[in-house]
Amino acid sequence: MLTGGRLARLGAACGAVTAAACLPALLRNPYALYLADLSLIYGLLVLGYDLASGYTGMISFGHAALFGIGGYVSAILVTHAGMSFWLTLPLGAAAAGLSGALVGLTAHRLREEYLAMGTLAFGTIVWLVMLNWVNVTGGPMGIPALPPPPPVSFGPVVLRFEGYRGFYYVLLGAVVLAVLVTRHVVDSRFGRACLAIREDEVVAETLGITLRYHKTLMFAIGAAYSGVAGVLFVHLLRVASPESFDFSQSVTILTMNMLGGMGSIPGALLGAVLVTLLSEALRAVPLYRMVLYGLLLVVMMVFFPYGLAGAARVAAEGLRGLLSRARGGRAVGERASEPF
Amino acid sequence: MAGHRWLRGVASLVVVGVAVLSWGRPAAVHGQAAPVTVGLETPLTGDDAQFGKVMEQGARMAFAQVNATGGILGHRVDLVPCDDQAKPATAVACAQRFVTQDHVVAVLGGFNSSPTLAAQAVTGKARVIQIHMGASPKLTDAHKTNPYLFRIILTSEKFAPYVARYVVGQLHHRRIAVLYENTDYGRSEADIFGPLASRLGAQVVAREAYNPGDKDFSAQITKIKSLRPDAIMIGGLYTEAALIAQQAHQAGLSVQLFGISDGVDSPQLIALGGRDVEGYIFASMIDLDRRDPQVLAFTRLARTMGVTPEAYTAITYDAAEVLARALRAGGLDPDRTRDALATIRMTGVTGPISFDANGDRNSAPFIRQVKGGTFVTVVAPH
Amino acid sequence: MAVILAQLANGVVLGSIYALMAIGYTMVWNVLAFINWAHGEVYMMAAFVTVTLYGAGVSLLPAALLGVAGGTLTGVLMERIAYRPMRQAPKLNLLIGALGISIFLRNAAQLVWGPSPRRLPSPLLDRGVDIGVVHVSLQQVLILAVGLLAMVLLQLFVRRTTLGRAMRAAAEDMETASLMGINTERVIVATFAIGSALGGVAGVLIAPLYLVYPTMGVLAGLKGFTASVLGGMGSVTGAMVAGLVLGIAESLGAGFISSGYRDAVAMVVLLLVLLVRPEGLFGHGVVSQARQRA
Repeated sequence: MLTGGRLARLGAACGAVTAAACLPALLRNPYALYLADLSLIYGLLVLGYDLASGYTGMISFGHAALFGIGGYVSAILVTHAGMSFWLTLPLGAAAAGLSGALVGLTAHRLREEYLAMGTLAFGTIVWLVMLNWVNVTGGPMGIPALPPPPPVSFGPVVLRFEGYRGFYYVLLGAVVLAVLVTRHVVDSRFGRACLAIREDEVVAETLGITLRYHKTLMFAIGAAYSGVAGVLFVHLLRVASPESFDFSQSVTILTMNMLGGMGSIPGALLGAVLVTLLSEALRAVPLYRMVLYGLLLVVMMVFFPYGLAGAARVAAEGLRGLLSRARGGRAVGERASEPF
Repeated sequence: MAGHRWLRGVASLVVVGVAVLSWGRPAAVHGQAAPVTVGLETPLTGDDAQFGKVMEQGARMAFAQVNATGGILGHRVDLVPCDDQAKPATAVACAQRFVTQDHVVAVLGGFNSSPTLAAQAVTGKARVIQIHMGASPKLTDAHKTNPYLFRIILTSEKFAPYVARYVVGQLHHRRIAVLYENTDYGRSEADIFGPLASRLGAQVVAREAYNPGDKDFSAQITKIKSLRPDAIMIGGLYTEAALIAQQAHQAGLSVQLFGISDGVDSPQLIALGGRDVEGYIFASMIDLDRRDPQVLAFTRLARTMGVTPEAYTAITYDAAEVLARALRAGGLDPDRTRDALATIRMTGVTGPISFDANGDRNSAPFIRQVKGGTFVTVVAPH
Repeated sequence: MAVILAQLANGVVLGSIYALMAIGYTMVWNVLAFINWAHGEVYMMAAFVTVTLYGAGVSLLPAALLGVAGGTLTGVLMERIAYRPMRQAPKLNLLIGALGISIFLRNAAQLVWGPSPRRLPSPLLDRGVDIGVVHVSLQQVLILAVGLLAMVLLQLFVRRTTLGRAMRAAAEDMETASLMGINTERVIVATFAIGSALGGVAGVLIAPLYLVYPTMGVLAGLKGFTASVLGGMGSVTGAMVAGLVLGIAESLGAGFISSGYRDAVAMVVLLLVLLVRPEGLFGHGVVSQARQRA
């Protein structure tokens, strides 16, 4: 059913993807490309987090661990087992997904603050293992000097990974794929069941929705995204080290999601890009940057509780109301809010 | 509600405004030779911020002096600090920014090994000199592929034999407990010291770790105490060392404390540790009380600039000085500067400066001790 | 055997510190069903005010009292400026807002006082008692004593005083309490004040042991939060007990398993408890969402 609105949205999405694909040609600057790559990695992370936490109501504070599991599994397989980078992508995703399933299975009964603590504990334990299991993870130094993935060719087009451009296209592909999968999951019966759980668990259960299955599976799916992001991240940096996967990283992912607005695909991507760019922009004034970052979080939470996506939605509805009144009619009645 | 919406509008304008403005660059002043930019990669926030701060002070001191005496080949030197947050991903962003936005001729720093290792992949490829303070042996390996990478500090590997000979050989401590920071820095110190001690006839009776930022060491101290050591080697920095000293004394463990590098070389050790760090032995590249001309000039400069100098102030100062000299000799060309650095010989605040084939420093350290609430040199390099 | 006892004693001492922090969290949660993630910064501010005043020549006890006052003020201001406008917002927003305040305060403190740690001397640190093989300083004894005292006083306050009973009513059901004529605003401010005062006391008492520096609230906050969740949010006694349990688990773990994995021991203990008893050791067994409906 391609309604007018849907067609417009599809068109906008295609336009966005095309524009994004042309970006590397415009951004010849490696610094800008690096930031673009980082933004895409975080975009993938936040999309996954939105699914795992936003759709189940299981707000996790240990998501960086899932990110790290994907990354470390790939790094270990590449250095110790000589495996190809491409093969480690699904393996890293699977490892993260399985870990996510484990977390979901054990944590689905927990209430908010207990869940927060439980996931934080999980995150800390994983981080400590990364830091201490020197024989496997390399301990504090991590696994450095990862080789760049071998070049890959699609007919006449060759993707090289010594720089950031090759990664950009792979990341863009991963994000597009993630968005498509997310839409599919969210629109499916499974996705709607999860929404019902988030709204009211008690009612959902009476409707026959099994909490454990839905929460766990959704969490695992979101975790798998993070695993993919992790694999790409460690190869982009050429090092897998524990500092990248600590509690502050989990906080970053969560705040990106909140800023962009939970339950919104464009919100997730926007949150990721904005925070990445803003952090970089303020790098010259580190202390003021952090002070501003804290202030920004508070201001956002007070004035834009549903994130930018929520604010955009409100603005759009306000605009629609204005336009219809200008045309001489009554203000359009409020539509039931859709997630997107 | 209308007021609320107005506030929202203002809030979003501020956010956008800040974001846009911070991307801006200061405009060049006309009529002057373009300044030369040097990047400083260091942790300016987080747990190691105190080191980042003194590193920035040291660099600024050196370049203030360089600029006051005509700059480098007539160009003023501008220092651009970047907070690497002690994380590899952020360090890479700093390095990229230095190379593509700030067009630096060289980078000073980082302080931690892991971020430095990540950053040097970027600077090396761009043929930008990087003079760092990371302690990990892996950075020596990195020099093999990146000849633009130089290490200004003596590593624990270089310090350790001297300290071991003093503590085991001269002071005859035979049962040594090792308590190290669970970072690459601390871990490598523990790994280096063990075999050295054994070779000299001592026994390592305990090997305990603490995580960076930990403030309570009671569990480790209790365990160590039960093994009756006569000395404890602390592989870490001064904040933790001071606390360990305090808590060890409280637990009734009063044995010789020492470290095999200069992580504790700061007046903060004494400020934080008080009487408990009396007798603490460590190795250092500098002795700020010596009446060498370089040291005197340095401490005088620090006084006029209102800086309280510590080890890393001097180390970064020397890094900046040696860089300036090499840049002059190399005419600001990256390869000629690199060659100048590789063959340089000068005397800095931290003693004779020269780099070996691995880009590492090579000299004998001072063995220092806390006596009477101040640092005293017990063994000077020959 | 002696080593086990020594580690146990270490654990009790450590645990009483976590307990003091945990009580502050639990208090606020009791009334507002909200975790003040910036509680650690209250602790930090109190310590900094004390050390600054002491450095300026004020003698120790008045500096300490003013430090506690400073911490209390910080907590009350947090509530007024940031949490009040967000009271109707979803819980997650409050959490992020609190996180934002925490980041802001930590870095603002570094701007004002610099990143280097400072020492707060205490006469109680030099003197101590020997319990068998373990030497405990009077400072540590004081911390344990204050923790127990706080617990007892709180119970008395909550049972016997009007304000305390008002707090209990508000904790049960805020709306009904206000309909019954209780000034819920006053209750909320008082709750934050008392909880922050406790956090401030913890900061001032612990500062001589572990130094004063801008990020000192992070670890304390996290451990205190862990302890209060372990104890079951809502039970002050539970927070106290859980704090001690946490401290003991950490010490024994660090002593006998591995010092590097020390924090992991505490986390594993927590996870095990949560698996078996999702509402914590002393928490009330309530269905997850039903409570929020109110």
